[in-house]
Amino acid sequence: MAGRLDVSSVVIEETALTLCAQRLLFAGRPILFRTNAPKIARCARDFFPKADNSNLHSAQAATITIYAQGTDVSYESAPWFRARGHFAAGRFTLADSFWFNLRTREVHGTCSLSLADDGMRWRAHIFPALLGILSATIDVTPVHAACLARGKQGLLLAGQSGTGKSTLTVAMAKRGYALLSDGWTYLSSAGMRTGEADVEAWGVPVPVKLLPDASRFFPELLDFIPHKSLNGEIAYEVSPDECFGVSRLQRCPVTVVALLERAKKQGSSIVPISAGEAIHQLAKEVEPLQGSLAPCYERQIDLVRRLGDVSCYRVSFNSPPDKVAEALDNTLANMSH
Amino acid sequence: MNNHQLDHLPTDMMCRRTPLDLCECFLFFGTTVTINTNCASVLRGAKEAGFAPLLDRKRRPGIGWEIVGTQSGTAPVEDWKCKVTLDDHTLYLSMGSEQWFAFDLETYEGAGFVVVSDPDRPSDPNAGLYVLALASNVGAWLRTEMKKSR
Repeated sequence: MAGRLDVSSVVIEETALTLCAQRLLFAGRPILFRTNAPKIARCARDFFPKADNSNLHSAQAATITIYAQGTDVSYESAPWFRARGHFAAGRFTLADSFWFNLRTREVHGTCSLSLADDGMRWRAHIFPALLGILSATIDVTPVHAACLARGKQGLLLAGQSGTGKSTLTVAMAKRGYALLSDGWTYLSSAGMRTGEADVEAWGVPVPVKLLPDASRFFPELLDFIPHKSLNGEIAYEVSPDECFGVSRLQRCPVTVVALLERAKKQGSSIVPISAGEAIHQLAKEVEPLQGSLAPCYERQIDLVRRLGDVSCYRVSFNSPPDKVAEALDNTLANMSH
Repeated sequence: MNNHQLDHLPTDMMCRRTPLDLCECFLFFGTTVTINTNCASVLRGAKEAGFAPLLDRKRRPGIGWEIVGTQSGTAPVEDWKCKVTLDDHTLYLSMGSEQWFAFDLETYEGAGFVVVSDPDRPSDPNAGLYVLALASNVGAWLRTEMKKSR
C-alpha cells in the first residue's frame, strides 16, 4: 500500500468551454451546461428541454461543466459515488471523474473521448446520476416513482423495486397514458415557474428498464438484448417510444398517487388511502441530508407534503400488468367523472 | 439528524451518514481546522503532516473537515498519485479510484474519503500519505492566499 505525491494538475480553461455553453432546463430549473465536446453538447440538447425566454432572465440554478480530454481508452469499472458535507464525487469508468460542490451548485466532470462519444450512457446513466445528486440543492425532489399523464390527470406510481412498477407503467402507457418516467420522477414547485402553487412532476428521457421476465407480457422486448444496468441488474433498457410506440411527456401536475404492492393472492385490489400515508411513503425514500444541506432536505420534504390534496390509492396486485392497468384505468376514469 | 421522525432511512449509497466519532482541532497555515473522522490514523497522519494540534478545546472554529475512512470494496489500494483539479470555487484532489478530498476555496471547508486497512488501527501508511497529499496541496493554496493578503 503506497502512494506518491506526484501531482498532475488540471485547471479548466474556461475559454475552451464557452463554445458549447447552453441554457437548459431540469425539472423547470435553468442549468448552464458547458462542454468542450460537441457530442456531449448534442446529447444534452436532446436530453434536457431548452430554457425558454422566461427562464433566460433568471439566474441559473446550477452549472454543469464537462471536459473531454486525453486518453481514448475507457477503463471500465463499476460506477462509484461518495458524498460528504457539501461535496460529492463519482465516476462511471476509471478514466472519468465527476466532482460536485453542492454549496455553489457546480458539477465539474472530466471524461475520456470514448465516454464523450457514448450517447447511450450519457442518457441512461450519467445525466440521471448527476441530476439525482444535484436535485436537493436546486429545490427538486426525486421520488422513486413512475409517472404517467392523461388529460389533466398526472399519476405517480410509487413502489419498492420488484413490485412491478415498470411493467405496470408500460401497460398503462399502452392504454394511452403519456409516459414521463418509469423509475425516478422529479418533483418541483410549479409556483416558481408559473406563479401557481401546484407540485409538478417532471420526467427525463431515459430508457425504460424492464427485467428479462417482462418479455412474457411484452413480446416486443424479444427484439432487444438485456444487459447490465447501472445497479448491476441484468435488464432491458429500451426507448419506450421506439419499442412500444407509446408517447412521452416532459411534465404534468400531480393529481393522483398510487402506492403499489405485491399481493400474495391472485388478482388486484385498488383502495383509497389517505394522502398522509402516500406522503409518508414518498418522503421516507428521500435521502436525508445533514449539516449545511439540511435546509435543502427540509424543502424537499415540504414539497412532498404539498401533495396533501391529491387522490391516493393502494394498488395490491398479483396478476398480469395489462389486467391491473385496466382496473387502475377504470378507477381513474370513474374518479374524473 | 433533522426533525423528521423517519421509521426507515434510505440506503446510504454514498456513505453520507457514516458516523465520525473522532475529532481534533489543528492550526494549519494560520487557519484553525477541526478534523472529524472515524479513523485514528487520519488524526495521527495530520500531526505527522504538519497540522499543529490545538489543545484549547473551547476554541472550536467553524471550519470543519470530514474525512471518512473506508475499507476498499475491491482490491487493496495500489500505488496512486494525486491528481489536482481546480475550478473557481473548489480544489479537488483525486488519489486513486476510491480516495478523494474536496476543499472549498471560499469557506475553507473540506471533505473526503480515504481507504484504510482497519479504521481502528492507530496508524496506517496509506492514511498518512493521503493526509500528506492534502496537506501539500491545500497548504500550497493557503500559502499563496496568505502571500496575496500581505
